[in-house]
Amino acid sequence: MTDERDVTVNVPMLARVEGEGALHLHIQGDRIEELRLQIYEPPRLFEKFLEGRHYDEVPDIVARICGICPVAYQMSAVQALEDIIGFTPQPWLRAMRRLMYCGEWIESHSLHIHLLAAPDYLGFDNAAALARDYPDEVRRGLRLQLLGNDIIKLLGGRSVHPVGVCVAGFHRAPELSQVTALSLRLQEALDDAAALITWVAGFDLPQDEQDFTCVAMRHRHEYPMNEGRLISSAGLDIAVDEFADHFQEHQVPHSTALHALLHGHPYLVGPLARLNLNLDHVPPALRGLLDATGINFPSRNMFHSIVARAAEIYLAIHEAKTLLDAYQYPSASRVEVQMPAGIGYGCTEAPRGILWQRIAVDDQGLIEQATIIPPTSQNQARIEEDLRLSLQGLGLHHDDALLRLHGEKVIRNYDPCISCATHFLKLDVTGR
Amino acid sequence: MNPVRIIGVGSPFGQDRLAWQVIESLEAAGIQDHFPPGRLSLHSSDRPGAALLELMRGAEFVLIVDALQSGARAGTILCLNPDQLATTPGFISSHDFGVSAALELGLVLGDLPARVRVIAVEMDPGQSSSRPLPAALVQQLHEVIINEIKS
Repeated sequence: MTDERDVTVNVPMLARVEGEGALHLHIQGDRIEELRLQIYEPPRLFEKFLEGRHYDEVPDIVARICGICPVAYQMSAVQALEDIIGFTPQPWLRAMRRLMYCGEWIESHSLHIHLLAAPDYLGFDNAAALARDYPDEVRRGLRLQLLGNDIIKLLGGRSVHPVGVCVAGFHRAPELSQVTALSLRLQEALDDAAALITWVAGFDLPQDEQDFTCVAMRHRHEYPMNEGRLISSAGLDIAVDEFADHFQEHQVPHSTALHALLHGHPYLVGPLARLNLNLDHVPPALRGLLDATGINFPSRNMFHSIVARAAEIYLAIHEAKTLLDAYQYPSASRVEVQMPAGIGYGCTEAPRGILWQRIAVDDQGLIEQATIIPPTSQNQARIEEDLRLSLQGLGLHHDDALLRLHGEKVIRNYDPCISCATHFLKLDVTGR
Repeated sequence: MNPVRIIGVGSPFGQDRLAWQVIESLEAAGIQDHFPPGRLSLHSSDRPGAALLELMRGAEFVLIVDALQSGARAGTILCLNPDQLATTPGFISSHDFGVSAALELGLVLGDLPARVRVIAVEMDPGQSSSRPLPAALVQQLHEVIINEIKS
């Protein structure tokens, strides 16, 4: 072995991420010569599928983009379409959309923590191996995931690719008996969520402080989900329709997903960015739980993302219970609207971060053009930046297996949804 | 709660729609009519992940139908136990947590019904998902499924 290592590490297919991608890493001596996060799922082309379709079809079509976060695609889409109409959701509709989003955050975050990320921190290869030593924790995760699914089902008819969402309403309103039963389960789940925060905060999380820009939505009165302005930790404060003036998408040769930059620089979206920028909207009980972890939020350690996810599960359960306890059966679940020709903008907080859409409709109510910018696409440049910093921080002298594992941990922190972004990991390390 | 459940796992697009087509064909053939009311139910599920465990909860016997891509001849049918899945190459999973991972997790947690069988059908890459499955394959699958329930 010589002092000057020239090594290539390849993770040809990333495990425990949503979708398919790879990591190529070329190390020469003490330098990373090349690092490429390759997303090779074929582009899904949903933006093109929408062209020529009636606006009424949009919520059901975009729900097909992802089996994990369909609600996010539906919510940003109806917001963009309602922006064209000039429609403002009445309180019942606003509350039910927020409730449905709570369901998706609970379901998606629970899946990620228990089945995809926790094995990384507790030294297991997969969720089944984890379940042999931590059966109660894994059962808790499955219970929370099911609860999230059932909230989505309450409004969407089913949890995967729900069909209940429409422009200016829902196709049907939940019955009071369904609401009461779910509210009881939410009360019990708060204890599960509190224990989950303590559990993940106790993991041996690497200390890796980095300088990065957080981007999230911001609402005057509440933790952001369905509405608000776009803000950043660097002082950005814009309306949703100003997104394209500040954020630029560009293609990189090694990925079928577009990279996005804010003023030319990588940025972070997702639970840690959201929590960092909206700590003042966290319920007091959750603030107490977070303080007890000993972690100082806002945090600049990406490995605290798993704690932020657990915190958002607690927040979403708390929020969902509040919304359900105030539930009243509406006189109508949707409003009749007329769609004029025009361009609308929508942005909501998907589990993995902001999901921005621009939709143009013609005078027949048909979609002329659609742009959909999912969170994983936005996080790609930040993931590559984080990988460089984290691997250099770890030390490039370590063996390939350790570099590979650490790289995968870094990537999984972002809970990348590659299927959504393809528009994601195999590690491939060369050189040394 | 139906004691016998047949669950087709797939997706609405492409060749992974195969299991959904099988469930549709069983429904069209009136398979439920051959059993006492409430005894058997049919389900089509879109990549359920770990939620597959919930779909099976309370059942005595579950048959999971899934598309297989192993390079075998199109239409090849494999009948497997859950513990045989992890080593069977080529199971299609659109997301990382697929049928085999869900069944392995269920085995570890002791959460599987008393009897679970997986019927894996080799897909035909040249077959458009908008066309019906070949009649001979449908008939063969119906016979396999009925034999599994009877045995």
